[in-house]
Amino acid sequence: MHKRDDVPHSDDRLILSVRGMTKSFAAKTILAGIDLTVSPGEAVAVTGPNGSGKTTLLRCVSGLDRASAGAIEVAAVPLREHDPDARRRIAAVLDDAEFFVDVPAVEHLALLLLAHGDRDPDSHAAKLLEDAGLGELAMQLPVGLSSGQRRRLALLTCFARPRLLVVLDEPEQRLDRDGRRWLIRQLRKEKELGHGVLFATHDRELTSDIADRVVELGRVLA
Amino acid sequence: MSAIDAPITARAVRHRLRQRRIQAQQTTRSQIARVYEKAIVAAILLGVAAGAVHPLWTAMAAPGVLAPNAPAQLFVFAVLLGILAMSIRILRAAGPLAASAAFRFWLLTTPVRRRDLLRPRAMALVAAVAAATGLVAAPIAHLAATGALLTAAFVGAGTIVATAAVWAQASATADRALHAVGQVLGAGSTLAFGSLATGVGRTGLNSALGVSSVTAFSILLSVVVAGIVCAAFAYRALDRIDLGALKHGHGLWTAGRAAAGFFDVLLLSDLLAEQRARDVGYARPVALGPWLRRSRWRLEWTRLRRRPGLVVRVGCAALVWWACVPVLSGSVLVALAVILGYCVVLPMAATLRQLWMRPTLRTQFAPHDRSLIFRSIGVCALTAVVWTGLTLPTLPVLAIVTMPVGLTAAAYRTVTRPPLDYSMPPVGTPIGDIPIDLIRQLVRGPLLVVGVIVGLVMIG
Repeated sequence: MHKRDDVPHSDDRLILSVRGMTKSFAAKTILAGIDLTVSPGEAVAVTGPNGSGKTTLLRCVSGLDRASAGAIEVAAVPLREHDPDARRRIAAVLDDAEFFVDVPAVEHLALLLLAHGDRDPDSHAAKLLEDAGLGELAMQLPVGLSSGQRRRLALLTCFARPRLLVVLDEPEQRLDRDGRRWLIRQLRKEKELGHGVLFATHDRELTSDIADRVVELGRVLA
Repeated sequence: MSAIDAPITARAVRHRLRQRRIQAQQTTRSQIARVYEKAIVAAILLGVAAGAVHPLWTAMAAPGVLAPNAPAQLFVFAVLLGILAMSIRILRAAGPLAASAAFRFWLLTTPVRRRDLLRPRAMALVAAVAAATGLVAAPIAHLAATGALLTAAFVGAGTIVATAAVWAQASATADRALHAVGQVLGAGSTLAFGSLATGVGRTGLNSALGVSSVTAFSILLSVVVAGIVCAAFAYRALDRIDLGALKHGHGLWTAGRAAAGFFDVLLLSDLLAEQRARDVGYARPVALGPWLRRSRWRLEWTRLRRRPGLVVRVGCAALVWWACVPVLSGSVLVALAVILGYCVVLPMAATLRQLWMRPTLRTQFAPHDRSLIFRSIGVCALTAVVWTGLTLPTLPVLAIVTMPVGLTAAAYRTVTRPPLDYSMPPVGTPIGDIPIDLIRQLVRGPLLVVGVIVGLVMIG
C-alpha cells in the first residue's frame, strides 16, 4: 500500500512459538505448560471459560506481561519486550483505552502511520477511517466515540501498523453487524498477507469463519 | 420528572429509611457503639472547626501589618481575586452539586420535590465554601491595612460564588454570566499582578484600595444584598437542576476523593483532561506546514495550538512570580520560583504521562514510542529553559543549569510512576498505615523539586 517500516518475514519459520509457558500470580497458577504455535497465514483462536487465562496468555505473547516460566519466540527470536525488533513484529489490541485523550481519531492514526515510516500519513489515515466506516468521525476525540466505534478504531490501529503477528482479545466485542463483517474481511486479509493471527474469543461464528485451529484453555488451575 | 407537591416530605422519607436501617442492622450494643463513634468524630470536627475559626477571628480583630501604600496591599488584592476566579472555575467543573448513581436514581423515582432532597447538599456546599474562603482569606488579608474588611468581603464573595454556582447549574444564562464573572476576576487578578511586577499604576491602585469607612460599609452592604439575591435564585433553581447536571460533577468528586486518598493530584488532572475532551467532542483541525506534517513533533505542536492556555500559563506564572519579587525575598522567593516552574513544566509532559499510563498505547507505536517520549521530554526541557530565562535575573547564576535539569527530571519522574506495589509492607503514619511503595512513588518527583530548592538556596 505505501512505504513503511519493513517487518522481516520468513515463510518457512513459525511466526509464534510458545513452549511450556506458565503464568502464576502469587500462589495462584493461571496457565501451566502451554504449548502453542502460529504459522504464517494462519489464524489461531483461543477459547475457554472466563478465568481460564485467555487474556493472560495474550498479554504474555504481546510482551505486556512476563511469563513465569517457559519460552515465547516470535519469528524464532525469544520475546523480549524491550527489544525494538520484537516490538515491531507484534500488533496487539487487548483493550480500548489505547488513545491519547486529546488527539482526534484521524490524527491518532496519522501519527501512528508517521511513527512507522509512512510518507503520506494524513491521506492514508483518512482512507483507513473511511474504509472502517468512521470517515465522518475523523475529528472526534476518542472519549466521544461510542464503545463500538472506539473498538473499530482500536482494531484499525492494529491493521495500520507494520506487523507479523496480530494479537486480539475478543475483537468482535461491541461491534455491530457491519463492524463484524469488516473485522472478518480484515482478518482474512491478514491471512492472505501471510501474517499470523492469534485471537481470544467466545464467538463460535468468528471462530469458524477465521480460525484454522482452536486452542481451548481449561478451567482455572489451582 | 417534574417537581410535584409531595405526598410525603423528604425529611419523613429520610427518617423512615434511617429507622429501617437501624432496625435491620443494629443490636442495642452496636447502636451504642455507633453513637459513640459518631460522637468522637463530631468532637474532632468541632475541635478542628474551632481551631480554624480562631485564627480567622484573630485576623479580623487585629489591625493589618502593612503600611497603606506598601506593595503587598496590591499583592493581597491580586491573590484574593485570583482565588475567587479559581473557585468559580472549580465549582463549575465540579457541578457544584453532584449526585452518585444511587442518589440520581433516588431523585428520579421518589415523588418528593427535588429542592427538598438537594437543599441539605446545597446548604452544606455554601457553608463549606464560605468557611474555606474565610480560612484562606484571613491570613492573606491580615497583611493588608484593612484586613478585617477584606476578610469579611471575601467570605461574602465566596458565599455569592457558591450560591451563584448552584443557580448556574440550572440555568445556561446564569452559567454563562458566572463564567464571564470568573474571566473578569481572573483578568483583574492578572492585571494587579502585572502592575506589581512592572510597577505600572502600582501607586494609584494601592491608594485606591485604601477606601473610606463609608465606602467600606457600602461595599459590605452590596455584598450582603448580592448574597441574598443569589441565595434566593439558587433556592428557586434547586427544583430545576436536571440529572445530567448532577452527574456532570460526580466523576470529579470521585476522582477528588481518590486523589486525596492516594495523595495523587495526577488522578484528578487525568479526569479533568478526559472531562475536557468529553465537553469538546470534536477537535478543531490545526494547519501543519510540510515539515511538521512529516514530523513526530506534530503531536506536541497540535496540542499547544489547541491548548494555548498551556503557554499562557507560563506567562501568568512568570507574572505572579515577578509580582512576588517586591513582596517576598530570600529562600521563599527561590522556593516559589522552583515550585511555580514545576507547576508549568508538569502539564507539558502530557504525552509521556499518557504513554506511561497506557502500556497498550505504547505497544501501538512500538518500537517508535521512544521517539515520542523523547519529544515529550524535549518540550518539558524547553519549557523549563524558558522558565529559567524568565526568572533568572533574581536567582543564583548556577540556576541556569540546575533549574532546567531539575525541573525536567522532576516532571519526568512524577509522570513515570510505576504501578503501585501493594505487596510491600505498610508504614505507620499519623494518618494511618500507608503502603511504603505509595510513599516512594509520591516523593519521586517532588523530592527532586525539594533538592533543587535546597541546592539553589545553599548556592545563593
